Amino acid sequence: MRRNRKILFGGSLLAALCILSLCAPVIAPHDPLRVDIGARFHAPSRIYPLGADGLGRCELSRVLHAAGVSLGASAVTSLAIIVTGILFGMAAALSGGITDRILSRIIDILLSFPSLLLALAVAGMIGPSLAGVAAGIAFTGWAPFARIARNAVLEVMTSEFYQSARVIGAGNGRIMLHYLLPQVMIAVATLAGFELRSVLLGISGLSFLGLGMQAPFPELGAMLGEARIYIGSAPHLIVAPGAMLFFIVLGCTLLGEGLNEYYAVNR
Amino acid sequence: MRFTAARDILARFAWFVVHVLAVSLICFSALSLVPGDPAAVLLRAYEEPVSDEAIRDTQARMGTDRPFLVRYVRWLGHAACFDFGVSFRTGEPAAARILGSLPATLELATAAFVLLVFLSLAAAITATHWRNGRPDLCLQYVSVTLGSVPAFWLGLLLVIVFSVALGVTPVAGRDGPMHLILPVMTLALGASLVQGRVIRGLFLGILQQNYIRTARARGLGEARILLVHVLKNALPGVLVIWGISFGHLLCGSVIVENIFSWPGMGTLVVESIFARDYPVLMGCVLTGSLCFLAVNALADALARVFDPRRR
Repeated sequence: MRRNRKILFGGSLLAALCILSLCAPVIAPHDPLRVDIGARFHAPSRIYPLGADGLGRCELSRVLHAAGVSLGASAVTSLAIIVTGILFGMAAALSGGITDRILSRIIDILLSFPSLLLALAVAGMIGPSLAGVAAGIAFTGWAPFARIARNAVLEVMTSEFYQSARVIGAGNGRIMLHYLLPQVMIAVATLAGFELRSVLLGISGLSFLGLGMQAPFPELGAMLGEARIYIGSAPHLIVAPGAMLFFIVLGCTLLGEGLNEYYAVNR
Repeated sequence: MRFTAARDILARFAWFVVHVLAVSLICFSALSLVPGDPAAVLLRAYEEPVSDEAIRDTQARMGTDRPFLVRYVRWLGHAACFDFGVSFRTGEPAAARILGSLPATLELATAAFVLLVFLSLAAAITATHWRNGRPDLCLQYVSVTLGSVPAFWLGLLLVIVFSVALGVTPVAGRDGPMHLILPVMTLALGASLVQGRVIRGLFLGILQQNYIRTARARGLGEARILLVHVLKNALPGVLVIWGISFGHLLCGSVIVENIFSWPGMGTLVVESIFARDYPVLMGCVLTGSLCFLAVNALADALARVFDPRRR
């Protein structure tokens, strides 16, 4: 796996950004919420390395904290999506028969639903909040993983090593954990990087529209949404959060492509 | 043969209807997540304070005191006739506001789609012709980079460069073709290069086929093989990819429209969320989802027309 340059580069980029955002409370030069009216639209300087925003808050501190919020929210949402998908897909494949057909149809219907629109609807109905946006994205997001997990289980069930396990009398629990789950995890891993990426773009995109993280707390998309009013006078406020978001997404893309290639070759 | 084809079409149509119903059910259940009572929300939009009697009156008039299923069927019946109720904010029919903003969204998505079709095809052909060569590698780097730029950041950067610094393009609004340039680029640039990579993969798969070897053995030029033999046989798959892209462009336009104050459904949807204008919001989500489903179904149907193996 270390030979794959995309995994190496994407993974280390992502890891570095994670560490950076986790250490935000320690390394950030200022409190991200501290308002200093005198420093409004401060250009980058020694006190404010990336300048200050429309309320005179330190841009660097805000970006560092915002990256943690964006990354954390997307990671939790992605994890919830993947676990739900695996459970649902495995349940469908293992139950078989009419239950499987009904569950598969539900998966199909959710797959054909434009997820961003539903996230908008949910966020709009329960009122703008980070949790609402995450719930809206997760609502349909698990469907692809359910389909993948289901297919992986069905594939294993036709294999000889699964049948031999049955013959030697392995119990259901043992078969689930040692025979089915590893194959399902491999299938899921090829998509995990892309999932993190699309969840991140969804959450920050909706926050950009003002539906996610609410002021004064920083989130990368929300910061861009606030900065766009001052686009003519303070373009530096747009560069920093956007660049942070770009590097996180780039890390996810490279990791996703690398994992995809790695498992395609080593199948 | 005829019979099975007709049955197939009928079955697909039936599933399309089921999908539409499921979408409408999800939309409607989202409405019941609203904290507080819709009747009170409606009344407070006009006047305050509101008496309990007035709320009960409005509840009876709106039918919100009825069970969930009754409300759903009633709402669905009205929605089928394109009647989403009255906008809480402006008092005009919600459907009129949605229909009024639909052309702008379609214009933006279609223009972006045309750019995407040309750009993705050009990128795929270039990358396939010089596969593993320098142009291919360059395109790969550019597509990974551009594909990782979030649309809302790209849009703002384009505004900074072209509108603020250079002053070539207008910042916002919808008034002639010049206003279309930045939103279309924001919407389609990253997606088209990413789709170009997918189409390149499709092309490379087809190049492995036996009939391509036959064509080479017959002495046909590489360009002719790529542009005629490969392109023709990749068309059904490419159509499906483009169909999915068009759906994503429609969804993506929610964010892009808001960057450029484009007066389409994306702007309307966000406006109605902040104004708590639920009839308009529901109508927008349902109309948008229908467009999305219809485009995907259309792409699928076209692929079947062009590829007998898919029938």
